[in-house]
Amino acid sequence: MSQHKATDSDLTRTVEAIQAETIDVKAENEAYDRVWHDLSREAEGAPALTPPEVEAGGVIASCAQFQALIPAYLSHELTSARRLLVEDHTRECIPCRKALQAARSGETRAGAGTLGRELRPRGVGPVLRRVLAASVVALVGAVSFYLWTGPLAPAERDVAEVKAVDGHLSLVTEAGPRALALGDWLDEGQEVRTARGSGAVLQLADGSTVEMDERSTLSLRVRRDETRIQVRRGNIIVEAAPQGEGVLTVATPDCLVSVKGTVFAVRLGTKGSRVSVFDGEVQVEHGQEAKTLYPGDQLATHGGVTAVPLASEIDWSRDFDRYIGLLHEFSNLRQELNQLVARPDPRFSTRLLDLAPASTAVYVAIPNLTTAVTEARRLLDERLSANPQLRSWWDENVVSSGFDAQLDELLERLRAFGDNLGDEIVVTLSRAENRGVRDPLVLAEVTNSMALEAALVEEAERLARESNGNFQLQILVDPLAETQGDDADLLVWIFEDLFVASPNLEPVQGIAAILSQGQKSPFVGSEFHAQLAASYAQGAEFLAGVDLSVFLAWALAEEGASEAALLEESGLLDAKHILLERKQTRDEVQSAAVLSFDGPRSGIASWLAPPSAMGSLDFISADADVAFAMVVKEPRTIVDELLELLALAQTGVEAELAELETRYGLNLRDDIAAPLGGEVAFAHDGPALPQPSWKLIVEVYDPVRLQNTLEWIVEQINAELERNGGEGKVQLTRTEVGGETFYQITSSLTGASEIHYVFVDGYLVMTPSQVLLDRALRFKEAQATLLTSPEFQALLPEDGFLNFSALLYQNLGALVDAGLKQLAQAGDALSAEQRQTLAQLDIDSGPSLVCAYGEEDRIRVTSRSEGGLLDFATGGSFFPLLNQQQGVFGSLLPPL
Amino acid sequence: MHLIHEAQPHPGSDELERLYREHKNLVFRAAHRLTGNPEDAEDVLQTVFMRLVKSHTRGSPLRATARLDARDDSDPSTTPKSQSSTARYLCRAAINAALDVLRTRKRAASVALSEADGTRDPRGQPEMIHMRREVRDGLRQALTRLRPRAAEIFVLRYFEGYSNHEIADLVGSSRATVAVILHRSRRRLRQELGPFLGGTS
Repeated sequence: MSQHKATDSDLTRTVEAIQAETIDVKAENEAYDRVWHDLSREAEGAPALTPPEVEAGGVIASCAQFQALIPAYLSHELTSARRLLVEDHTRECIPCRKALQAARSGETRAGAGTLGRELRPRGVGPVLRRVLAASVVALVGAVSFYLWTGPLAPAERDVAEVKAVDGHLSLVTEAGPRALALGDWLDEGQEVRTARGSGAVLQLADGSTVEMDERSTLSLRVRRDETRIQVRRGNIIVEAAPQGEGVLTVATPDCLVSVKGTVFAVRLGTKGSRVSVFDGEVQVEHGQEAKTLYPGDQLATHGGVTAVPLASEIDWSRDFDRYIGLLHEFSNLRQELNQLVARPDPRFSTRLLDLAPASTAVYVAIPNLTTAVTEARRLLDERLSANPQLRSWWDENVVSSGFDAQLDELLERLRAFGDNLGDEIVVTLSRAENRGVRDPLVLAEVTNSMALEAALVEEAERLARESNGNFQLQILVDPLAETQGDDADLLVWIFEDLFVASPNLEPVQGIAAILSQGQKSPFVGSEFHAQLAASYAQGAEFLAGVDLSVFLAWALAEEGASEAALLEESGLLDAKHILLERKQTRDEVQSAAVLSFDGPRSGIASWLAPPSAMGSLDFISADADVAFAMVVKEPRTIVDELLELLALAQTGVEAELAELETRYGLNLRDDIAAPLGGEVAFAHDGPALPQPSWKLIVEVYDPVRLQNTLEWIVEQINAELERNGGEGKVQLTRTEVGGETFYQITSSLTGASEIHYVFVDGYLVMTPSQVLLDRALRFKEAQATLLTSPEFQALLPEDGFLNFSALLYQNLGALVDAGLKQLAQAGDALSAEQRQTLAQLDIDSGPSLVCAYGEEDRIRVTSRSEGGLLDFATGGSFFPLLNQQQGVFGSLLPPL
Repeated sequence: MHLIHEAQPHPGSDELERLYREHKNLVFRAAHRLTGNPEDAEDVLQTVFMRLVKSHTRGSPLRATARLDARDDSDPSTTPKSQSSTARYLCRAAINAALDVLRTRKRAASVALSEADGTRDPRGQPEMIHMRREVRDGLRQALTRLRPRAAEIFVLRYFEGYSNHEIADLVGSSRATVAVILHRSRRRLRQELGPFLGGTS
């Protein structure tokens, strides 16, 4: 049977076929009679059928009949329907359940006896298997040695043979990748690479085998007493044959593994290496340390190559003295806030979650920041008193606008409530009957109910007064005795140590009912509750969760809507929940977002590939200001799915595209997508002036084809320009330097612009200048890359992943900070005092890293960045780039 | 102590007879659509009404269904919109019992010889009929791999013809949630149905 992709029509036809199935009327009527006969016997208490009658298929109507079926039930001789009847009955009937248990225990005992007799003496099996395995390995080793040294030996430099290829295995040569096939030999020093979704097995001359996972790269070197496997990236498993006097080593950039004869795995990922030993003994050297690993042991490393810092050029001195002075003050204030203001501790459990309404669709838990905010204000006041320059700026920009007074009043009111509440405030929204959400509800624990109630009464009076009676706050005594009226805009209920508020009575009554019955909300036990509870278990500060099905249902509420079809194809309709978490320590902010799906990701949501090593990052230096890299699934499939989506979104797109492809003789799928691999990276890696130092790196499996496509595109652009009588022209030139072919595209269309690129090691590296291109190649050669920089390594999240599906790194603060430091050394234009002030500035709020992991049924995004109270108040860490701007310039804003 | 074991006089036999007379077709046919054969459908019919009888002694569904019917004057026909509440209750019971049968059924028993030999449909070749039967049974088996609630909602919607609104009322959910569950179920079933469709469409 050939594989077929079922469409919606297939499913509909199958359902219709089931509905159209005919029933034999005679058999149906006979069944009705039989069942009624037995039902009426049951109702009248008729004598049971005899066991033979039951076994013959008669209808079961008594316990004796059920018990007569037990032997057949246990020996799996009953039909599925009869099994169901027996199971159903024994669940409800204690005598029959006991009869079944008795029969089953007898069966188990008999079974155990049989099993016992069949047991073999302990230890013989495994020992025999080990001896056999050792013999096989020794035999393979001996035969390999003979072949290696005998007349059938390969050429002198051949070091490994391709024993298996699943997918695409290629040799990395100067002329580009060359496919390797089964039986091909690998020369010493040659680099071999598996493509995405591919795997391969190499057999070394000594009989050892090396299994390569997808997207792995390695080379081999053989010396008299050492065979070395140099892993460039990816995952390998080594089954080392006995080495005699020699040694087999596996080298990664940050560790060296030595073995005599064993089975072990080496994973080299973006964050470092991990060595896992399955059999034998392995020596691992990592930095100054050496460790022996035994079966079951695992060792992980981190890279530690020190990056060479580069200075960036930027000049933003204007109104110098005042500006620098302010920056200095805000820099100090920021440090004080981070160091002196106590932050709320993470919460590992909460009873508020168990009180959330059954239909909760949105859940937000925020820490009670009253103490921290009050303390921050006190520190700010101290600074304002101590520094006339800052005081002047504050008066001019904040006090004069009235914001300072408003801030004080707001803080006062915040304290009246916040000081009497627990460490967490929860806000929920419930699913509406048809669409959307309803019934906002606020929950918090109360530390001082008398004080809180007094504050509420005062607030109610104030609100009524200020709104001329248009806003009414009602404090409930017994919600269950109340009826919803139109006279209250906000209902508040304080019960023992719990605070509940909502504009609607129903959710408050729901909480009251739960508390009066001493129960938990029906929300407990739902999948959404379980996800939130799991987040609490790991420590929560800010936590938000949304049941996306409620919102995605809007698209489906109107059946037949074209948007629904579009959403369905995009795979986004399968989104289930999204959880956002944010935690802050004294030095950094950790954020995470998890988008979970109801089943494996599909459509656009599946474009992000599972975590994988990223060779493209080797071309990006440690001084990059911004770097983005990601791995995606098969580009051709993405193009196909994208075109399907476009066709759904707008009719005629397919025809237009087909016309364009015919006109220009270019196939988007085959000519552009097909030669590409699954990895892409973009970075700004160098001075921003006079032109941005951007850099694009794309994995390429077929560089020759892609180059042909690029040349064809240039030809078509020029032909089009000529047809339209344009004067500009695009020119593509190539230059051979040191064995590499460098390409340059020059355009005279809108001012002179250039693009330089080269195909190297399976990647297309593209930059705006030849200098940047040369530097990119040098970074890779020297392994002085972003991945090895201490700043980057320090930001790596602590989790079980070695690789990422995507990452976004930024260090824009360093760009600004370095510029200021350079200005401080700039010489004559600045006074000694100015230079000193600049040198003392610390506005570099640090780099940040956002990592994404494409798991089967979810996408997880995490970030780490330096942060402080200001950052917490703005929630900027979910958007690190914006947050960085906040860190640099946002310090000039008031601390809320 | 329940009725079967004690064989005590049944107080509701007339009521039971009425319910059985009015709803036996609905239960049997719903079960047949899901199980695909009359033998299993008969067992489901017996299971559903036996449960009703047993529950009667505990004072629940039989009296409850009578109360529901007293409030509901609709005709107990096979059209969901006009069904009484009792009919809907029994329909759900039949679907869930039939799904239980499907879950425990071995795949080997899925093709009935009477249909596989081509005698039922003179228009088709035996092989094609067998394939169609295989696809239908493939869908039935795929239903068992959905979550129970999703499977029930799918069957109510597409086998029994209930509207999203009616299903929402029946299962105590919102119409939008039902729509999402149906969408996801269709998507999942399409994936599961693929291997059965080679060469048939």
